[in-house]
Amino acid sequence: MTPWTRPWTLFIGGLLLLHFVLRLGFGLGKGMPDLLTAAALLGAMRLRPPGAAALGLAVGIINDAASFNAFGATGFALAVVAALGALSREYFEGSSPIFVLAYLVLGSWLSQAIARVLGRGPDGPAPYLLSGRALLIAAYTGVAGILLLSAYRGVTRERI
Amino acid sequence: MADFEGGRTGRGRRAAWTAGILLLALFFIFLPAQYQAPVRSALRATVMRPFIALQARLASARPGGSELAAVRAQRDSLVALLASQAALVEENRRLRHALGLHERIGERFIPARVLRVGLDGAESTFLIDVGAQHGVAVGSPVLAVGGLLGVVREVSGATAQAIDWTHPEFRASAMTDDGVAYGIVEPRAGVAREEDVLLLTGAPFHVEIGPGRRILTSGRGDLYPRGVPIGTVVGMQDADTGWRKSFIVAPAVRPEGLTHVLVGVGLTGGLDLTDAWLPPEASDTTLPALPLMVPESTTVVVPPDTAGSAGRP
Repeated sequence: MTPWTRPWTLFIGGLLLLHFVLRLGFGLGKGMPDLLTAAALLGAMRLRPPGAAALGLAVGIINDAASFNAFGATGFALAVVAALGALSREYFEGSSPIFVLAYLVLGSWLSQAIARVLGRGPDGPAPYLLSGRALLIAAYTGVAGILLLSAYRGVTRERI
Repeated sequence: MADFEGGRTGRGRRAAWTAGILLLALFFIFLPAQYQAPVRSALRATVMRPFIALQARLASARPGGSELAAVRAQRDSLVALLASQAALVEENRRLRHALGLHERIGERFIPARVLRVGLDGAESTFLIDVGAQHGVAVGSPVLAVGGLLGVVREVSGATAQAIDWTHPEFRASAMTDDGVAYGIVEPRAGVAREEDVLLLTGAPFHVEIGPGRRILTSGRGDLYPRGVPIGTVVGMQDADTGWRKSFIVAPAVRPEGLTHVLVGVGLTGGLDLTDAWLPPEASDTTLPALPLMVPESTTVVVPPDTAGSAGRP
């Protein structure tokens, strides 16, 4: 497993900051990609499952501060997918862009599915997940994540 | 020394830690609502505060401000026009005083700026830049130019969080504008958010409510003032076992593009705002009847004019 470095901390922290600045600070909302999930999933790639779950829970609970639809749903969902993501690294060691893209898309979709099942949002889980919107959001998250990760790798020359 | 990196012991410990963190995450979900609220408030007041403040600052600087100035200028022009018709204005004033309208309404609405949350889990909710220190309380109605927008659900010092009518928990006691039928209005989700509409449920079976009939708040339950427009009937949804009917209602206000709202403070039961939203043909003046109480550091919101036409993005 690639060690957690200081530049990686700045990268993950930067993703989280960017997420809240764009979505909340600039009020752009869901027009912007879900960099919160991307940060949790990418962070999980260099963490053991407990650390990844803690990261997912922490950033998810901060996100849930504005939610009384289902407080804690994002925290739980991100904790689960981050832990699964970290666990998956013990079995799959892919670092190609396609692999990471698939990892981000699947993780984002799973995170939305868990959050919806826990009752978040004005519509129920099934209509939302079946409408294709969840997959579209997951793809958007994956593409944004892979682009930002490529930029990071270009600057730091670190491998994943 | 514990084998934390590998081996059976290490894996067991990692699994135990992971399970513990997931249990902690579940704990937050099942925390009673009264205990969740302080946690949310604390996070909003600390970690999220810079981002909320950034949006508030940008909102005051963006073109909306100049749009507001333009609308204000238009209103001032209308005021000047009406002032030239002094006799009519004086007659209106006397009639209003005679009806005791001003006394009935009272200065119970303050303008507020809408801040978009834009985060997952905050769908159908929005922040406003007035809070407990301005007199806003849980249950305060939130009105927009076209009519009812939502209700405040959580209040902190200088901000509050409210739900709009698309939220699944939104309900309002409603009536037709002729007062013949009463019922409860609730949201009905569309495939896309833009397709969300309202549903008037519980209307008596024998009552015919035709398309175009305006639906207003009835004031029952004293949560919302009476007479605030909710929407217009566009058709019948279904008949419930031959006793009740449900009607689809096109909302008077769409929440997507709103930037400013009015928030009720210190409202008591029995408030009737029907006259503030009279249809154009019935209105005796273009000037609004809804009074504003303007707190410091907030922008004056252009008050309601006529039903339906305004308030839509």
